[in-house]
Amino acid sequence: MKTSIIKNQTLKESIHLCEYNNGLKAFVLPKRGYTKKYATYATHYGSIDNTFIVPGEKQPTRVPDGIAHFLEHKLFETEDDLPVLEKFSTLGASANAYTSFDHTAYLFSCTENFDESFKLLMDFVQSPYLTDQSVEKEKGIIEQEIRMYEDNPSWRVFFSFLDALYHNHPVKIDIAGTVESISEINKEVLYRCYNTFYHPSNMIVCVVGDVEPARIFETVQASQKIKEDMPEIKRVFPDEPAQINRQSVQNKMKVATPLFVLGFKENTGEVVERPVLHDTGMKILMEMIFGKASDLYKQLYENGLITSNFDADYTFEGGYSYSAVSGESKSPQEVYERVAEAVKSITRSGLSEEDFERIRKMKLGSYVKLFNSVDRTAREFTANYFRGIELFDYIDMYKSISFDQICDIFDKHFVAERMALSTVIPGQEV
Amino acid sequence: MTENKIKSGKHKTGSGVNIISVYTDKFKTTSINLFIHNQLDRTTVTQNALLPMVLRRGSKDYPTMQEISRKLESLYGSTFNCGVVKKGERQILHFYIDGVNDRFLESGDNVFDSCALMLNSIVSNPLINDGRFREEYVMQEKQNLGKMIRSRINDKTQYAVERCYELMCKDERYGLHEWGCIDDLDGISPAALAGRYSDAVSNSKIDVVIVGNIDDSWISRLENLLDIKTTNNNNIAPEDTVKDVREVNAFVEEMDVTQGKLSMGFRTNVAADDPDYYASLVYSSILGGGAHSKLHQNVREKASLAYYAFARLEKIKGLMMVGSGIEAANYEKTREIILRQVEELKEGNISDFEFDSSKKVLENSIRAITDEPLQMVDFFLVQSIMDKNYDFQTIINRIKDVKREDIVRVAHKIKLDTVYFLKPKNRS
Repeated sequence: MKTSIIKNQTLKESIHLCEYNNGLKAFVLPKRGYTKKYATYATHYGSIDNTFIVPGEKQPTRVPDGIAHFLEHKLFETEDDLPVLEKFSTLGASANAYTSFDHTAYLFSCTENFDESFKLLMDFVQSPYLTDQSVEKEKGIIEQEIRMYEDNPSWRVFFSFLDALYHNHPVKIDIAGTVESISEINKEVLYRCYNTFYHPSNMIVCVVGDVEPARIFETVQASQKIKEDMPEIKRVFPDEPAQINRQSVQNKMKVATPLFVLGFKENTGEVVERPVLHDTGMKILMEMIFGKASDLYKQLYENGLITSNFDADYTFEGGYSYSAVSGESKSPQEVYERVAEAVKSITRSGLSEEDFERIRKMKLGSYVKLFNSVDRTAREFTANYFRGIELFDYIDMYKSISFDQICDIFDKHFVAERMALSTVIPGQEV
Repeated sequence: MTENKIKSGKHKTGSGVNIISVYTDKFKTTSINLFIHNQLDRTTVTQNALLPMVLRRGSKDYPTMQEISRKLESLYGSTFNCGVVKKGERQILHFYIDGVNDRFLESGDNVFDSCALMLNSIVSNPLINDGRFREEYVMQEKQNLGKMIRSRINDKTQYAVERCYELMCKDERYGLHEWGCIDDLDGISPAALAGRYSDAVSNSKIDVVIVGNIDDSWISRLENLLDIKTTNNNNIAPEDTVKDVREVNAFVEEMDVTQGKLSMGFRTNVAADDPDYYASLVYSSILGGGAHSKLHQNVREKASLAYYAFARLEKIKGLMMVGSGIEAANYEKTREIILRQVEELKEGNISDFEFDSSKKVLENSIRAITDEPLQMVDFFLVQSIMDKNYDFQTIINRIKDVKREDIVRVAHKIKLDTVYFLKPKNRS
């Protein structure tokens, strides 16, 4: 095992890193004075990893959609009688897990009994216990989870947006899968996924709170059941054209006002070389163009086309990237047209350097604020790590990024033909 | 214990405003929260809901949202927000601003003072001319509020909880939603709204809660920067927390959804300052406060009926909501399992695991409040409403002191009042 420390003077924070022989990495961000400690144990395995080549094999394996999320649920079951969540409760810790497109994270937070809780986290993630009966039982619970999301208009409008952007990429598939796809899941295929993706070389540990890094690193070391490193897992993704799948998509649901998500699909291969620069630049650009101080926002708001329920985000996760602007509007089509017009006008007459400087300051401040919360720090650290970004990289980038770089990023991202619109309008589904 | 590093103080200012200061050096930010307490009331509820929406459109110094936003952005992404919160039968106007503490900026800017000035500008220097708000802003925000009220149906889980309380408390103030009533909107004029604001801001109880790495000199600076004066004599009636339930009400509403939402509203008949309050807190945790709870174990894990099943306490009004998302066909079955758990608590059938875990999980969440600025603000707001001055350790000790017999006693006070089911409509 090999340890190192990264310090940041501006933030007055440091990250302690430990790399183990089996490929696992552990990160600790000490937060003096905090009562809460937050730990995640995460694997670089999410809903998009539905086709892969197991190290040592030649043929790709295709698994049912929703299996990463299903596995997340099942890891909470243990061989003895007391389920994992209940063991955490006994310690006064609160545990949870989530599955995203590209990673699955198991976590807990506590203010007491950290050592025992942390050992429990390390242990249960490494001890799958699946039976045919418990797999079947879980289907009923996950089916209700899927139904809950089906009734959520914000969720629906977002996944339909991804469907408009992507022809083939599995990011467009619901994280939990469908009632049909999960019905195909069984014990054997769950173990196969587990054995492939829950290898230490594909995982990280991240702890944030008032803790001693050396002690954490030792606990992690002692907990490891697998001692050897493993060759890289080959993930297979279908070819994805640069163009969008559909320019618009509409659903009907029980909502009062239409909801929309619109945005641009990016040619990810073109930007993946410098992820921190591109991601930072896009975050600044989204604020410059769609933020509360922008002319576009002012115009849309004052014309009654949007409400304060309006967000503009950029997502970059290695294999896919897009911008998404969401909100509710009496006329999403008109919002779409005005956005297209605003983008065209910037393409013609350029961005404002004054806006850029102001937003750069704003983003720097927002980034510093992130470190107020142990939960958010741990979650952001984990999510960023799996897309190849180390959390502290942003602060220097916010300080050094130039206006010219921003203009260049604008040209790469905002391509009129790659803009799509998804809406959910009031009405009954047919 | 690290908690000692948090120090709070209360200052009554000459202007009638209470400043509650919370000193801690662990955050990167300093936040200022201003609360104007109002009684939830049918005659003012919608106007109060509209006020923050109109106020944030512009002040005399910053007459447009764009100008406010530009200023906030240049203050290193200071965040301003405002809205209404419902606490028991109070509808409280909440104005919030936070800024990064100057020592993380290497800039020499005084972000805190600028934030206080911005907050002051919005609250005490609103765009009111000739006794009226700007007509255009009022008209637009009436439409926006109308949209918000109508869009309450979008989030079915939340809607089913709110709807159940609305039906259950239809003859009480608590039955009002904090966003008000859609039918009132037409009748609100820019002059009437300005009148409502002037009454609220000059006669209500006003608390300012400030959290960050501050000292006493900041309090006096803040006092000087805020031009608010209140007589503080807009009396708010004490909450009515006891109700004898004679008959359980049942409502079914149909909607075009795939999952049904079951809501069961209970009266705890325990007031927030009742010695039994902490027992009711532990009770609700045992029933449905997480993975250790009876609802999680029985509705989800044993019967596989739901993804979620919770019990949540409304502290100030003494209510408890049980909620779960289920197949329509499982309505009766789920209801029975839930009621069975309620009976188990009355009979004192509480395992050691349930009893200990519930307390530990609650203690954990109380301790963790000190790590989140907004949770800390909420904590001090509730203390102010109750006119209490507990520290975190006192509350933790009260939870520790709860005994099984206390829970059983409370279990006999808690009465089911209303069952509401949001039912999927049969599709043709």
